[in-house]
Amino acid sequence: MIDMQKLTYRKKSRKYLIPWILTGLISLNSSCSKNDSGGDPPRIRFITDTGFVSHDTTLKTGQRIRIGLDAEGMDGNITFFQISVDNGVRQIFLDSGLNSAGLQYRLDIIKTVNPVEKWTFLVMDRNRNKDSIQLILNKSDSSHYGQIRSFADVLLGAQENSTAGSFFSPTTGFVYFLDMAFLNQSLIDLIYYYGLYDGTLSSPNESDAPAVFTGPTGLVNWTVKNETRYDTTSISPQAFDLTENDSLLLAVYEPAAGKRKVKYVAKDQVISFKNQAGKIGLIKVNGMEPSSTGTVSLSVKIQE
Amino acid sequence: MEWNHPQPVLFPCLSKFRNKIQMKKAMLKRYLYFGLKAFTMLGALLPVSLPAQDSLKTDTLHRAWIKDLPELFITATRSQRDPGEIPARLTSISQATIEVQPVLTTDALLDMVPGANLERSQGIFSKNASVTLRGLNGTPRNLILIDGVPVNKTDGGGINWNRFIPEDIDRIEIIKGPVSPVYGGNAMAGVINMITRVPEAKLEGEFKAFYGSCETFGGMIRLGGRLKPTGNSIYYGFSGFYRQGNGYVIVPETTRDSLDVRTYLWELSVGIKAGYRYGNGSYTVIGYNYYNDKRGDGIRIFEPEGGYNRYPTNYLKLTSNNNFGRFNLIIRFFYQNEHYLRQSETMSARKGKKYTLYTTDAYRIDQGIWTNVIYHARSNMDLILGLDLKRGTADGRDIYLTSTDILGNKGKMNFLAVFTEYEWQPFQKKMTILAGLRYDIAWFFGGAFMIEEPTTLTEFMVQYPTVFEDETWQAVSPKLGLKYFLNRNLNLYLSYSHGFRPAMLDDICRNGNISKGFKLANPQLKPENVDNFEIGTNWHPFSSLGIEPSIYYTIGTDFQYFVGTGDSISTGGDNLKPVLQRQNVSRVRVIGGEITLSWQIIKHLFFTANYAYNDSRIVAFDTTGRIAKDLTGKYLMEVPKNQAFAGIYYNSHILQASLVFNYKELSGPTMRIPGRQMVTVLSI
Repeated sequence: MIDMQKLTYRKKSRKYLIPWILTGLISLNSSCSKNDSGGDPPRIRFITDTGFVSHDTTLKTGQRIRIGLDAEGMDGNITFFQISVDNGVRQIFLDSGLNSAGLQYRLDIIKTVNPVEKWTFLVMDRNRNKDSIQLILNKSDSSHYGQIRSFADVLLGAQENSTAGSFFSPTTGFVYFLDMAFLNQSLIDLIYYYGLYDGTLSSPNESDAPAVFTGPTGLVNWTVKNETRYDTTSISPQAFDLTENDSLLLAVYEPAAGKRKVKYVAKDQVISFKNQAGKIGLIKVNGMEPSSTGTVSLSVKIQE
Repeated sequence: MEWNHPQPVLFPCLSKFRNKIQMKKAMLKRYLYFGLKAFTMLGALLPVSLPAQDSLKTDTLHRAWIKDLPELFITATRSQRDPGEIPARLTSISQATIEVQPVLTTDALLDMVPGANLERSQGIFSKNASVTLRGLNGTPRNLILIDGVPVNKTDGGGINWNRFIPEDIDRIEIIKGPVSPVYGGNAMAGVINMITRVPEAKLEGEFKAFYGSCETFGGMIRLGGRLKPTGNSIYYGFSGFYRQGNGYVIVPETTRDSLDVRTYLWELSVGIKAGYRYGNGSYTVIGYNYYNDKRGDGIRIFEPEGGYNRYPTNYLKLTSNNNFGRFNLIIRFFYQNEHYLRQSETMSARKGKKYTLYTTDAYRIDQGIWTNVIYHARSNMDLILGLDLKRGTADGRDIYLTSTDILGNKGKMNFLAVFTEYEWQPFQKKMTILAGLRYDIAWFFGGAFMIEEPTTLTEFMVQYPTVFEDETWQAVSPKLGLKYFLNRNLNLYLSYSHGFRPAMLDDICRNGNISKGFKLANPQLKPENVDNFEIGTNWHPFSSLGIEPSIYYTIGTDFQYFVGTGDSISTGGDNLKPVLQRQNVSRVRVIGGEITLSWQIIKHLFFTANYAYNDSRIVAFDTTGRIAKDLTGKYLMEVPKNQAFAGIYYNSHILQASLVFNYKELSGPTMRIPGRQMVTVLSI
């Protein structure tokens, strides 16, 4: 027997169904249009040519190796490349955006004092598909520490100082004024200036320095711009003074932590750095006169 | 004459018909008419232009001074009203005016409204426009309606002006000043109601095709009809437009580089509706609109399409207006789903040239039911009761393609409001008393911020809350208006009204990088409020002359600005960036006035002029415990302090010509921009 009450209710309710059906269709239409990543993921491989390390290996502390990477997008350009290193704590060594069908990359790695370093190389394509490879570097039990060169009381002048130069070469140990530095561009790893962030240590490839050192020999006109990466440390000045080999230099060196400049330089600060040539070092700030005509006194220790 | 940007010069080809029988006749007439109109459309180059004489016959914009204007105004009280009764400054743009306007977007029609300021810096290639009314800048401070149904988004507060078809609009009604006692949120500077066309003939339609500079071309079509031309009947309508074009390089030639390319656009809008009119003026109508677009932002680095913005939108509305004796019940249902898609390509100008590519995928949904009942107690007394429900939802993701990061944010806000309004016309209708009160309560819930696979680009954000607590706020909006008719030619009105604008979901639940620093979500953000006091008069010393001045004083409280929290964080670059948060920190004061003069000089010659003054300043800015520049004494942006307009029109069947002058003097928080004049030398 037909329930007339229910039938009537159904008939009436149909009137109200239309807007809800339309609403549902609209929602369906909207939800179907979300991005779907698809396609084959990109590929990344180690270059296996002579001179490149492409397998897990054991290295002495301070030993340097070169690795090469070759990546290609399969169903979309490569848009992201990342290098991270895990020595107990994972750190990002490099984040880079790009938009290219392929990628080739070379990297020099210096073995730190950590027993194990796990290096991961990741690429991602336009569709957010990823591929990654890893390289594990173990520390050799026969590790020994390397020699260092020391430069005591290196006096650098700020940009308006007329008696002390602002450019230092750890290779020669000389301090240069701008004009002479221009003639020895490949030697310059360290620059001092005083400005927006008080005393600042930087290098020719840093972004703010060209606005400080201007003119015909200004940094804008340099053809070789070395880049030094700095990292502040908690090392005491006494520990710095006692250092006679590169053990402390390697112990405090964090591959992923380097910045292009160190700001607000202060007395007794100890700063870790790595220069363009891959040499690791430490800088101790002995003292400073905080002005654009002032000076900073540094002691520098760097790997031979 | 000043051209801010290249605009397509459109050479339209149009046709319009009503019924098959009328078609041939109409086509013949239209060929002649549109030949002239094609020239009129050249005025698309000009920022402001006013209607030819045909429109003046029915246009309240220019004829509001004609006291016996037989037109009903539906926006002011959410019921049909004689505009002469309402104690507020009203403006209407009629269909006739719209028809002869050489505008390319609907918002451009508002540029002719006294005291309104339109910002659309790249013309049709702008991804959106901003409309300022009554000295309060920005579209979110205005409530925008389509057929009485709201279109403001809860996420950002504004609307997408591009998605409306000018030819589909029958008229636009504008109320200036706060109308929150009737409409609630956003109605703090005014309400703009775009009323779409309802077919009158058995079959009617219009189509248009155009081609112009910047390789711009497209077309528009509108079709509609009713099964029976009179009496109870079903009616239907279809409208659509398509436009595409290659724009121009936005960046000035002196600062341009290889990454700056021409903008581009394509857009499509399709609308359908069906309605039924039955006894006593009751009707039910359902309408659906779909919009899709893509606008290049003028930067292309590696991606073939460069950076772009898209706003695919579905909009559904249902209105039912039912008369039962002395009662009139109006129910409005609406559902709007905007799926915002963006692709952004940037290359850092700093050393290292860091390349960033990301997409944004965001859903902004607004839906609700608005109802109100009008009780006609007596011939001179009405009582209105209403209940409004609305939900706004935001759910978006920034998906980085040059890093693994995905940032997500979502949140919902429910609104519930009850309101009442009382209208009484005592003393043989020589006076109108309009009183209203509305209570709004809103709940923010489901707020969350997510970071997936952070890199150095975003890992600093992990330290901030990812789930936001639910919040509630309330608003009470009263109003009182009086209008007194001293005689047939002179009336005076006084009004007080409260308005507010709810906080945007984007500010409540989204963390992210902005140009000035890092923006931190503020779930405790409260609405902005205004209280407006106004006095105005309508004076018609002669039958051919009308003068309509108004002055107003507006106090705004809890206005929102970005302030520093005192924290700085590294966002991956060399320098620390300040942490900023939008907070209710300032008080604003607007002293303003406007006057409109309309004069029918002789039969075919008409003159109109208006002047608007707005002194919109920040009068207090609370920097206590915040890192912010004290903006006290500064002007609000995008508000012309002095704005003047004058136009003289000659209109006969043989010749339609106009001469128009427009002047705007803009001001900003840190600088004043000298006035600019624009003159349409002759629009024929």
